[in-house]
Amino acid sequence: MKIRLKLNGSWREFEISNDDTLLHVLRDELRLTGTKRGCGNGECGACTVILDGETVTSCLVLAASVDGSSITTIEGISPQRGLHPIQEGLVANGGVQCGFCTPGFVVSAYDFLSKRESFTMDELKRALSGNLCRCTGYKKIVEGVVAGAEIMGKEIEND
Amino acid sequence: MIKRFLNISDLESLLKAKSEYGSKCKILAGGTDLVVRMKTDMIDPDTILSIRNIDEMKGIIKGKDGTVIGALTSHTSIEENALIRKQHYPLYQGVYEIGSPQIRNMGTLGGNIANASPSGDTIAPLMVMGAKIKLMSRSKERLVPVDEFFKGPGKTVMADDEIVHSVIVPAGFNKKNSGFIKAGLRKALSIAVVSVGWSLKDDKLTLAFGGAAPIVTVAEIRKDCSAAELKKKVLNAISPISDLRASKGYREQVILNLVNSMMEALN
Ligand SMILES: Cc1cc2nc3c(=O)[nH]c(=O)nc-3n(C[C@H](O)[C@H](O)[C@H](O)COP(=O)(O)OP(=O)(O)OC[C@H]3O[C@@H](n4cnc5c(N)ncnc54)[C@H](O)[C@@H]3O)c2cc1C
Ligand code: FES
Ligand code: FES
Repeated sequence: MKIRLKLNGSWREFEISNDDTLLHVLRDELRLTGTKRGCGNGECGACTVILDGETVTSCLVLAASVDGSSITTIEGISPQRGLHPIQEGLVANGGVQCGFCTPGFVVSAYDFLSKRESFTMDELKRALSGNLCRCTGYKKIVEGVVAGAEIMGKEIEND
Repeated sequence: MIKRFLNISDLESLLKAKSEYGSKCKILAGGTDLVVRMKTDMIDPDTILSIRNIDEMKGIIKGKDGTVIGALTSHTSIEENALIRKQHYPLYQGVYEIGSPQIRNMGTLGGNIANASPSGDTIAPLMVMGAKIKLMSRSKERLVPVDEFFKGPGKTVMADDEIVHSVIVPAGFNKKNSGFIKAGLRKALSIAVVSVGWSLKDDKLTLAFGGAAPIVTVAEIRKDCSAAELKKKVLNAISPISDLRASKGYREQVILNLVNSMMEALN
C-alpha cells in the first residue's frame, strides 16, 4: 500500500508492504540508517523515533498503521553541520563508546528536554529508562545529557 | 503475511469490520503485544484492523458510576491524568510500572486487558477497584465485571465480533486505602515476576495477584486476620508456575513478602 509521512519536516510518499515495520522502512527503504536495530522486540530502545510527538520503538510500529503521521528521526535532530547540544554533551562526557545506542538515547533525551524548561534527575533517568547501553554503564550518558541540557538553557531541580 | 490492512478511524466502522472478519482479523492498537507475537511467528493474522486513529476511544472522563477510560487510552495518558492519581491510585501505580516510556506511549489499556496476560500490570489494579469492562459488537453492548472477564492466559469471554470499548472504574481509591506493588527483575523494561494489588473497604481487604496463576486471581480477607490465616488464603488463591523468569517457590515467597510488607504498612 501507499503511505504518506511527514518525515523530519517534509511530506514524503512511498510504497510499503503490509508487514513492514517503520524501522525497516526508515533504514532499508529510505536509507535513514541513524535509527538502529538492536533487539527488534521493543526492549532496547536503539530504534527510538518520535511519532506524532511521542517516542516509540519503531521496530514495533507497523508502517501501514502510521499513514499521515509525523515522524522525527535522529537525522531530523542532528543539524546538517555540527552537533545538537545533546550530542555535544555526550561526546564531551564520554557518553559514547561503541555508539550503537547513542541515536536512541539522543532521541529520547531530545523529546524529554524539548517538552520542559526544567527537570529533576529522577525524571531524566526515568525518561531514559527505555534505552539500554551495554558499554557505558549509563552514568556518563546521564552526565552527557545534563551537559547538553545546560547548553540548551534548561534548569535542573533538586529531587 | 497480512493480506488486508485496514486503517479505521471511527467506532462504527470498527464494529462493522469486526463483525465481517471475526476470528480472521486482529485489532492493532499500540502493537506492543501483537507485533511482538507476529514477529515471533506465534500468530499470522490474515487481516489487521488498525485502530490508532479512533479518537472517540481515547480519553478519561468522570461518569456517574465511576471514571470511564477509553480502551485506546495510552498508559502515558493514564499516568499523567490527575483524576486517576487521586481516585484510582492502584491503576496509576500499575501503568507507572509498565515497560518503558516508549512502551507506555504506545501501549493501551484495552490492549493490556484484551491480551489477557496473567502479568498484565493494569489487571490487578482494576480487580481491586471492582472495575467493569464495556464490550461492544455491532448488535449489542454489555458490561462484564473484570473478575469474570479472563478465562486463561490469552483467553477472555470476548466473542469474535466484540471489542473492548472502555473500562468503568469506581472512584474513591487513594494512596491510603489501596495500592499496587510489582516485583520485577530490574526497574524498567521487565515484565513483573509477580505483583499484588490491594484495596481496603471498612475492614475488608481485597487482594489481587498478578503472575501467580493462569489468570490474575483475587482473595478477600479481614484486615485483622491472623498471620497463619492470611498465608493460607494467599497460597490458596495462587498457583504459580516455574518458568525462565522464576520458580514456583520463589514466586510464592515473593508474593507472601509483598503481602506482608503491605500489611505492615497498613497497620
Ligand atoms: C518491551 C516491552 C515491555 C513490556 N512491559 C510490560 C509491563 O511491564 N507490564 C505489562 O503489563 N505489559 C508490558 N508489556 C506488554 C504490552 O505493552 C501491554 O500489554 C500493552 O498494554 C498492550 O497494549 P497495546 O495497545 O500495545 O496492544 P496490542 O499489541 O495492539 O494488542 C494486544 C492484543 O489485544 C487486542 N486488542 C487491542 N485493543 C483491543 C480492543 N480495544 N478490543 C479488543 N481487542 C483489542 C489485540 O488484537 C491483541 O490481540 C510490554 C511489552 C513490551 C514489548
Ligand atoms: S530494536 Fe526496537 S527496541 Fe530494540
Ligand atoms: S555505547 Fe555501546 S551500547 Fe551504548
